[in-house]
Amino acid sequence: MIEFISKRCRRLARRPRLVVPAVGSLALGSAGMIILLALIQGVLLNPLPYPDDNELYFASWRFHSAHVGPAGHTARMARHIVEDSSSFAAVGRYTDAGSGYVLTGPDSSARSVTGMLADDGLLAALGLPPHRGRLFSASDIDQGATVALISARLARDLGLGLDAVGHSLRIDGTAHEVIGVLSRDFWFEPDVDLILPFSESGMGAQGHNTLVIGRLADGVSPQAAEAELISLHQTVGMVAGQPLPPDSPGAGMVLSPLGDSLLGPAQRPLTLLLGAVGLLMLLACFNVANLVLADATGSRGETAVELALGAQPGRLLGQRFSDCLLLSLAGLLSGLLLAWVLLPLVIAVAPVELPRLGQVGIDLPVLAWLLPLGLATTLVSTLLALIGQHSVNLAETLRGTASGRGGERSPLRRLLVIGQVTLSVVLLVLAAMVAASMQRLADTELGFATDQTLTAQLSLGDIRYREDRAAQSTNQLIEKLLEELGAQPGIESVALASNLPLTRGLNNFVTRPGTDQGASVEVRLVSPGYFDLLDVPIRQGRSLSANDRAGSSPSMVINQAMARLLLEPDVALDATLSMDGINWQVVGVVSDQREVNLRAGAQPTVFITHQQAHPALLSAVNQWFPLALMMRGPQAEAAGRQLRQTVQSLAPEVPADNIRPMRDLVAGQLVLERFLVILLTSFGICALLLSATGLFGLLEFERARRRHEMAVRMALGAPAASIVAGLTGSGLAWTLAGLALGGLLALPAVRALEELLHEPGLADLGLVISVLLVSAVLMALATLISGLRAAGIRPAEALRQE
Amino acid sequence: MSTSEQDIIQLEDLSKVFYTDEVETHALSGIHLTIRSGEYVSISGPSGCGKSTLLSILGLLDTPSAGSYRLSGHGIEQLTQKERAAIRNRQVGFIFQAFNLIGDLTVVENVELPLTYRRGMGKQERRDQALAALERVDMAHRLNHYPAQLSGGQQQRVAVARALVGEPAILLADEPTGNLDSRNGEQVMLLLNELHAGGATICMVTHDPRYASFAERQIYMYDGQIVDEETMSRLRAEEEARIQALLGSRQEALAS
Repeated sequence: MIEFISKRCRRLARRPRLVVPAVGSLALGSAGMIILLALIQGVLLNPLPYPDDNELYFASWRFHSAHVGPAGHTARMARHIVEDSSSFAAVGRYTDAGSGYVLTGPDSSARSVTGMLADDGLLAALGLPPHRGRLFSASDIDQGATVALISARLARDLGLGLDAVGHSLRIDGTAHEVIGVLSRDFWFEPDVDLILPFSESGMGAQGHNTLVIGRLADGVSPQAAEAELISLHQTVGMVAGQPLPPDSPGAGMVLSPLGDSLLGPAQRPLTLLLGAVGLLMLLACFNVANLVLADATGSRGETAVELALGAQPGRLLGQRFSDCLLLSLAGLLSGLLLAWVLLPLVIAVAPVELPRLGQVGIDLPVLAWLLPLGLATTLVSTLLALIGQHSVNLAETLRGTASGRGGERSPLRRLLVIGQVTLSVVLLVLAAMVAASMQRLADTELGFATDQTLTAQLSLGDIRYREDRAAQSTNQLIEKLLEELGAQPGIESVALASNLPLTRGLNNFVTRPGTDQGASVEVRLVSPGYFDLLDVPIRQGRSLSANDRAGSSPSMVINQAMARLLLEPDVALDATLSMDGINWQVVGVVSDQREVNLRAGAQPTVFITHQQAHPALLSAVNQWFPLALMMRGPQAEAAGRQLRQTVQSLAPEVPADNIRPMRDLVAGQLVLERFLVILLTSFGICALLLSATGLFGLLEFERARRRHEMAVRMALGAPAASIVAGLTGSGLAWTLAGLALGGLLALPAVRALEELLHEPGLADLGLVISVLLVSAVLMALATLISGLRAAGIRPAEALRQE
Repeated sequence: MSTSEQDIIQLEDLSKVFYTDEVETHALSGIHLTIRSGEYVSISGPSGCGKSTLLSILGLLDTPSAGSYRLSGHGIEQLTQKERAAIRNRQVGFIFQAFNLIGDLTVVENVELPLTYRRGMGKQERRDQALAALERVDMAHRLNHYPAQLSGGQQQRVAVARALVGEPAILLADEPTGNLDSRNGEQVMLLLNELHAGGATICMVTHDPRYASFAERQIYMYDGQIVDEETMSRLRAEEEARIQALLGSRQEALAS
């Protein structure tokens, strides 16, 4: 066996025209496959770091509204789930992780930390013991203890190491005792460095801000648990005397596996990419099969000699298999090397939203995939090579008269090439569609200006910006910032808001007094000058001004979407809306903007000043959302340092983070699309090159097979152009067949990823045609090169015996 | 086919040298040859004497290294590849040893093939000429057969029809009986005789003296040169003697 393999190795080593393109094709395909497998293994397949993680379920609330995904519960409902549900062995509450926590160091320097609130039940449900110290106890939660759990990473950054337990940290202006260091495996999306005891206060009465995770009790099915939650919701609603929350058809309790909830958003793009790279791998197998077939045809004499000497026909099978196996091994190893080089680059362009990117690498589980991958590659290539193999006529072959004269066509090889063109067209169309979708998103009318604007996020987690002191401290800070930063050279305008455009913000319930109309809408607290800075047109009335301060008549500006939702658009001005028990007069209507993200259309939004906001609302906003700062002017984008220094000098307890131009904020919305475009385009280009190589290889095979025939034709007076046309005609015919088939198959493929595309339409047809044209040009080039080589055949060869 | 008494082929001091890495092979040297319209010439000689090289130059499949070649009165030295292809198509008809029919094409399509390289000829005209050529070689009953379905003799008759169909100035036959048994070989030779009787100019390369004698003029080649019959006989006798001497010395060595 070893001798047999050794001989095949020696034989392959003497055939660079077979080995180089075959190994190259497989290296490209397998590198893509390994990278994708690494991403999928790291992001999706690696188990969650919690024991028996399949028993963990996320209990969410599904709103009727289509644009809102699964949400949390009201604080009261969450409490009832924790206290009254019997379906869970352990269940707990927590809040979304956010970066609004301010950690003040011994030198009074403040930094923002990603943290969350959680109760003892959540940590018990997850079942992950701390690395050091202890987790929260029930009394910590009940008594609102000023204790904290921190990550090992934060402990290291603070220079505390494993001795962090017992240390006191000043968090949001209050001293907290570190009672435990979280396990290194503790993972939430995004990565959490700090956990403080959950408190129901500050969650808002109607806000769906409390999330619930539970571990199912023994013998309880998810369906039974979900039914209990639905029943509990109805009971609580009846006890409270009102529906909880404002209900509508389609809304309700949903229980879903924790893994799906945390990793679900990553599944679709990664599955799409896996499908794409699967096509690429298949293409590579086609190439290998084609090359092995061509080699087998060219080696008929050698095979005939072996058979004449008594070799069993089964030996042919062994030869093809071993050749494909050796080529697959070499291809996979080269691909592994290529993937090892490329993976860091892929991770660098991957969207940060992709969870557990830090765990992506070429590790043992990924390497374990190589075995089935190599076996599949070998089997597919061998099978295709055997199907397309011609029987050897021993007598004719040994006489040297078994020429390619007629009959010996290779329909499978042609089908493989047509298949290659088809697959590459499908891949390229997908890439082009995603690219076009990204471009449409980038060209989306935002409704606000992004040029010459610098943005920053200021964390107002410190205690002085909370509760009773929130209004005074916040408004003083805002006034100072407007004054100081507005005086900077090259800065024309400064504004502050409760959140930046295109980022998640506050929702609140707004009603129209005297009617039963009400809705949960976006709420923005903004400083005067906000609309001017962003060039948001005022459609009716006026903008908010410095006169809209505490004590003066509550004034509200709404956008057109809000006017359409609750008011008649032409009578919106001067109408009255109620929020937090206060009646607000609509003093202006502004144009719609993309408030939440690029994909979602304009959301109904109301704008009020910080000064007129209810202190409780302001306190909640400060707790949950960093204050958004925007500066605009010719030198604004280069004024990051001044901004940080000014904030530091005015309020050392307020860290300024995420200082970046507004256009980067917009670009950040396209990271997923860009990632998909880069990978899909890379796969598409590789596929196209593999197809062109495959076509060229087939034409070269045809040229070799028909060399004598071409010489005869030339001897009979055929001009060179006729010979070229004869060969390229075949190539172009196969290309056209592949293009047509690819165009047809691309349609269902595009439909399958419609959800990922932004406003797909008929205009994309032009794009598909462009892809087909580009592919056709490259294929035509491959055929032309082979055709020109055919023109170099000497007609005198016709006189030679084949 | 032209039946004038003009010279079809005129070779003056023609030579051909092949160069490989470090070897210079003189395949032809000092060839002077004239073939007149309507002549039937055979070129014979032992293997490697340059017969096929000469034929490939005569058929414009290859170019001479030196000397002059005039075909139908026109020098061929300055012709482009395109012009050479056009002349091959219109003035030369090839008959190959291995027939060289194209396996993917039917009999009639094979015969039509040279005409498809001519511009301005309609499909029906091509088909008519092909049928006429096939009738001349008595193969009209096998129009739609493929070459693989024919015997060797039949394939060569089709190849002759293909050579005739364009009404060339000269037929060049390279060992036309080389792949045939004696019966089929003789039939092909009779066919060539018939064509010659009809006015065709034929130049045939063969190493078989029996078939060479079918031609009205026989040319002998030896080591790249044209020699007369007497010289040829002497050279062959000398060669025979050398071989016998070699065999004799070999047997003596074995006996001792």
